[in-house]
Amino acid sequence: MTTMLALTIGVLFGTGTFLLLRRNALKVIIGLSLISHGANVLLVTSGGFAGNRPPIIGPGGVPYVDPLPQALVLTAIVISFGVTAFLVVLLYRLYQRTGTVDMDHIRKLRG
Amino acid sequence: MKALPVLPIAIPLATAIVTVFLGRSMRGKIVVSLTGGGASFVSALLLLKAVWGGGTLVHAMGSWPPPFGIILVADLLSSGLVLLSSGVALVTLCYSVGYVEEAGQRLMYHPLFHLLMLGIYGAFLTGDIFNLFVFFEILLISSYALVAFAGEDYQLEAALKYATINLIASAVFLVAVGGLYGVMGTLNMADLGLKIGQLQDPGPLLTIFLLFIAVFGAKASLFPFYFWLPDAHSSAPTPISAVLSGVLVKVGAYSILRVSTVIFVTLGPEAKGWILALAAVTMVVGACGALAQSDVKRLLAYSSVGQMGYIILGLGIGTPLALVSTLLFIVNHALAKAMLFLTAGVVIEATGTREMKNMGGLSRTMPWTAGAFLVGVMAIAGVPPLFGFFAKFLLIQAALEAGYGLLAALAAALAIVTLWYLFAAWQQIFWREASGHALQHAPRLMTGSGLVLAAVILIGTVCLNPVVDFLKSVEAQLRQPDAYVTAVFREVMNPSGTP
Repeated sequence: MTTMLALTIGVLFGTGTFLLLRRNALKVIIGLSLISHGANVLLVTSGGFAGNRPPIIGPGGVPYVDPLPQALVLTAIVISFGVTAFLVVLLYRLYQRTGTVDMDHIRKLRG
Repeated sequence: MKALPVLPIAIPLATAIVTVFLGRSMRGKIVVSLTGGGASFVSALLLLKAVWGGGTLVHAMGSWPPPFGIILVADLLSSGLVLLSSGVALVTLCYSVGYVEEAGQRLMYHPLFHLLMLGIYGAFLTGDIFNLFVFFEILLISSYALVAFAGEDYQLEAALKYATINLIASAVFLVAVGGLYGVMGTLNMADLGLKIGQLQDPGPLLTIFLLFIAVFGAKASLFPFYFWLPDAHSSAPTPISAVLSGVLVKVGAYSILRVSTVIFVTLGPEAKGWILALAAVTMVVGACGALAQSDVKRLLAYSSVGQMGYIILGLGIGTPLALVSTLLFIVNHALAKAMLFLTAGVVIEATGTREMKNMGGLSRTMPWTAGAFLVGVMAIAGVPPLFGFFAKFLLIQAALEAGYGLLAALAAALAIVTLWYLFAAWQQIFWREASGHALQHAPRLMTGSGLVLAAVILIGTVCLNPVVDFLKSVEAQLRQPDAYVTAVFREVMNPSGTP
């Protein structure tokens, strides 16, 4: 399970980084959200994720998993959702004004 | 009394909500917004007074005791910084009323401004690492929106860059938090400080610490994470530039200071080399970048990068003298850079251009603004009577005492470069031949706000001794992380709060 999660995290960060380096700003935003997902999965794993165990103490002391990282991840998901939505709107506005999402054409601020 | 640490967070939140629901009434929004700004400032004053008299104040949110609940901790450093930033915010808010166009004020300017301040105060006051992340996101998303507020192409582009780099930093923050939780099993700062002392094998803690430095460095414009700053700070509406450069970058410096004095106490020396090297490069990059600018706001933004280099250099050296100089730097830069942006905004409003070569001779028509700008230039450049000089002097002395001769020489050399580019800017804007442009009339409120901050700097210079004494007690408190931990856990032993 841990190997599987480690691989997932690696793939998410890898593809995210690749997309971040594109010139198309929309791909950059997709890359950002992939990286956020990678960080979220990593955060869940750090609490000792164990497949089918519930994050609450059940009757009769059923083994449970630490609920804190899952609560943290919920917060983090909401935040990254909000910021991504804002970025998409920002880019759409920029696209309306400049007619392109290519960062090389948008870029005016230098030095 | 017990709820005092909550007030600087609750007041801006309430103000933001009320201003959203005031609809399109501009006068109502301005009145509520200024009242909220004033109330935040007063609550910060009361908080500092209480902390100064009665020691560190701790408030457990929802009465959940630490380390399980989220706590707010107001020690001298936190409450001092809250007071400093609420003062700058109040002046900036007055300036905004004259500066931001009516449509903007009718819409979301005031709510966003108060949410930004809420995030800043929260980041200073929180005693929990994950909560720090949440407050970071609050202040960041409000500041993205404010940078892009007027919706010009260059502002949208700057906001996009700013948001991209800080979103990556947020992901790295989560990775660092995950790592820290995996190793330590807690996220409460005081609890972390306690447990790290008992840890046998530091494991990946150095890596985690460096991740935190990178995250906070992205806010504090540490090299190589600084490149969004000149764009964002120069493109934002002027009052927002003043808050970003004056206050927001200090949140990054504060967080580095906090994690290295409370949590990663034992790691300090190992990571020192990294911090010092990055700070030195930041100083050079900021000074060289500023030399090349012809746009006054870009010049001030690059100068912020350079000054943050000095601030982080002091943190890196870490001797008592160096920390006092860093704190003095933070106070000096917060007041002077905010004031420089505000007065530059007045000049831009009057001449209608941001290029310094198209200005000139303004000292005859705008003597007060010229005087205020000169005070700011002297404070940042560190000309002797002002306390910017003592900050630089103490920093260089601290570097020499700690055996960093090369860094001291670099700091001194770059101080001369700073002096050069700032005085050149002042001379270009205010001295030369008049350019002959027709001048627009800038609102009195805008000129006045700059003058208020200039007066505060001059008063601070006259009362230098009390200021330095206060900063020395802040520093003495930072030296005793045990006292911080004890103050937090006194709450557990004695939840009713009676000593």
